[in-house]
This record gives sequence, C-alpha cells and structure tokens, in this order.
Amino acid sequence: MGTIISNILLCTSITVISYAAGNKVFKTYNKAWLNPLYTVTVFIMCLLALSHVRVTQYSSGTGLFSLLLGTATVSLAVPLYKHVRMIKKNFLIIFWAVMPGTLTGVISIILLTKSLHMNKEIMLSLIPKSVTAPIALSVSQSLGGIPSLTILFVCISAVFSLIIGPFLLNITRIRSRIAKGLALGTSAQAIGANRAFEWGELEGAMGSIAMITSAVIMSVMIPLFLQFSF
Amino acid sequence: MVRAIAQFLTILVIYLTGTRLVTWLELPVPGSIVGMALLFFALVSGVCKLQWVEAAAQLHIKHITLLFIPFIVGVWHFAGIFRVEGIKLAIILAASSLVVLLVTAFMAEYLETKRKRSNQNGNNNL
Repeated sequence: MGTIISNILLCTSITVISYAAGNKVFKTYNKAWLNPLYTVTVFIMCLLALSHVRVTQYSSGTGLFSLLLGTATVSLAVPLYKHVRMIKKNFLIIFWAVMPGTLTGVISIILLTKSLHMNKEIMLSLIPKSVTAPIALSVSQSLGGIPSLTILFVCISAVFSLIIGPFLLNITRIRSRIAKGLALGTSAQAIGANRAFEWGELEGAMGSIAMITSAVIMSVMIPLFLQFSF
Repeated sequence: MVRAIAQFLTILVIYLTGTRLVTWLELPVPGSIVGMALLFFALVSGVCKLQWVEAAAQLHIKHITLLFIPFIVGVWHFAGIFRVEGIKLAIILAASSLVVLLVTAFMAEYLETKRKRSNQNGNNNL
C-alpha cells in the first residue's frame, strides 16, 4: 500500500515538475519545437530509461491525470457558454459543417485502414483522432482502442493540420471567416483555435466552438461506429 | 487558492455526476461529455454562475498539455507499431486530416454564401 502511494506521489510530482520546467523553457525561448508536449515527454522517457523504471509502473502512478482530463472536458462548457450567442446565431452552419467534416474523417479512416489491411485495434485507436484529446481518449476506451496511441494520433494530426491548414484554406480560396475558424478548430482542435485567433476574434471563437462541437458529435456517434466496424 | 480549490471541487462533482449518470442510464457517451453538458446548461439557465467555475476551468484548459504527457510517455510501449506500420499510419493520418479540414471548410463556406444570398434576396423583397 505504502509503495503504491509513494509511486503515485513520485510519478505525479516528476511529471508536474518537469512540465513546469519545460513550460518555463518554452516561454523563455518561444520556439515551436520546444513545446512541453515534446520536450517533457522525451525528458520523462529518458528519465525512465536511465533509472530502469518500467513505463507500466510510471503509467500506474499517473491516474490523477486521467481524472483531470475528465474535469478538463467538463471545463470546456465555460468557453462554450461564453460563445453562446454566436452559437445561436450560426447554429445551422456550425452543425452542418462540423458534423460532415468529423463524419467523413472517420469514414476515411475506416476505408483506409481496411484497404491497407491494418489491424482492428489500430483502426479503433485512429477513429477518434480528429477530436480534442481528452474526449478522443474516452472514445478510444469505449471503442476498445489503445488510448496512448490515440493521444499520439491526435497530436500528430493536429500539428499536421495546423501546418498545412492555413495554406490549404488559402489555395482553395476559402474566404468565409466562419469557415476558416471552423475548419481549423475541427481538424486541429485547441492549437487550431489558437491559430484561428491570429486571424481574428470571430475565427478564433468559431475554432473553439468547432473543437467542442466535433467532440460532442464524435462521442454521440460511438454506438454507430461500433456497428459499422465489426 | 481556496477559491480555486472550491471551483475545482464544483467541477469535479459535476464530472462525477456525469459519470454516474452514464453508468445508471447506460448511456453510450463518455461521462465527461455528459458533465460538460450539465455544466453548460447550468450556466445557461443561471443555476451555476460563471464566477463559480471560471478560474479553475481556465486553469485546466491552459495547462491541458500537462495532462497528455503521461499518455504520450505510455506510447513508448507501442513503438513497434510505428516501425512496422509507420508509413501506412502517416498516410492515413494525413489523408483523414485533409478530409476533415476541407469538408468542414467547404460546407461552412457554401452555407454562409447561401445565407448571405438569401438575406440579400430578403432585403430586396422588402
């Protein structure tokens, strides 16, 4: 019992302290590749390897973070509430853009994984990858995917969308400010919404709304995917 | 500090209510999403004031990266998949991201142009 508690305390504090340090470095040098997501992850991996601690032992000590991902998801109600007027005004556009975007994303994953003969566990881990990480995680769990892989897929595709998104929207001549915000928020979630704020308040708000809408749509569609994928 | 903790506990209670509801009613959605819906409607209806949860909620969202780190470290366990299927995965991730981005953008652009047009027609009729 004592060792379990000390393991939890140790893993949690190592993660928090490394994050605080990584965040400080990121803020000081302000380089995209210094994002704590990469630096702290690599640092902890090296630390585990050097101290011969198994990843499973580390994972079992970090349950607190799963709980906090849950409360973080609940917290998303706050930005949603702040934009409630804008949502009411544009409800139809938001729904009929984000829903098809999210759904076709999932269909493309199912078709591609099947035609490339990938195993089913990987497909189930890929399905939720276009929604914000805390929700992708629970969707992955409900589907029977591998949550760790899902989180990684979420991050990779968000960064990819963030890099290619603004360029692609430009060459496809998307002019609507609502469309730009929704597209980045649906494909690159929080970092997409942040990028959209650089275009303007409306784009940014649409980005955050899209991120939450796509997450809600994804979690409501779970039973549907379960039927299709078997 | 005390206020932030009280706010966090409020959010935690809402989250736990959400997960309870999901188990009781056997809902097919994550408890966290039900919790989010509960908080959203509580805010809209005025049952819950924004000041009661705002600071803790924003703190969460600001430092959400911290919460992903343990999961990404856990990926180390599955590194083999990337050695074997890396290229396929890259193709799938890229292609489906493009689909999401473009479908959303084109739908929104189309709908907004349509709305603008119908608004203009409406004005002409007046």
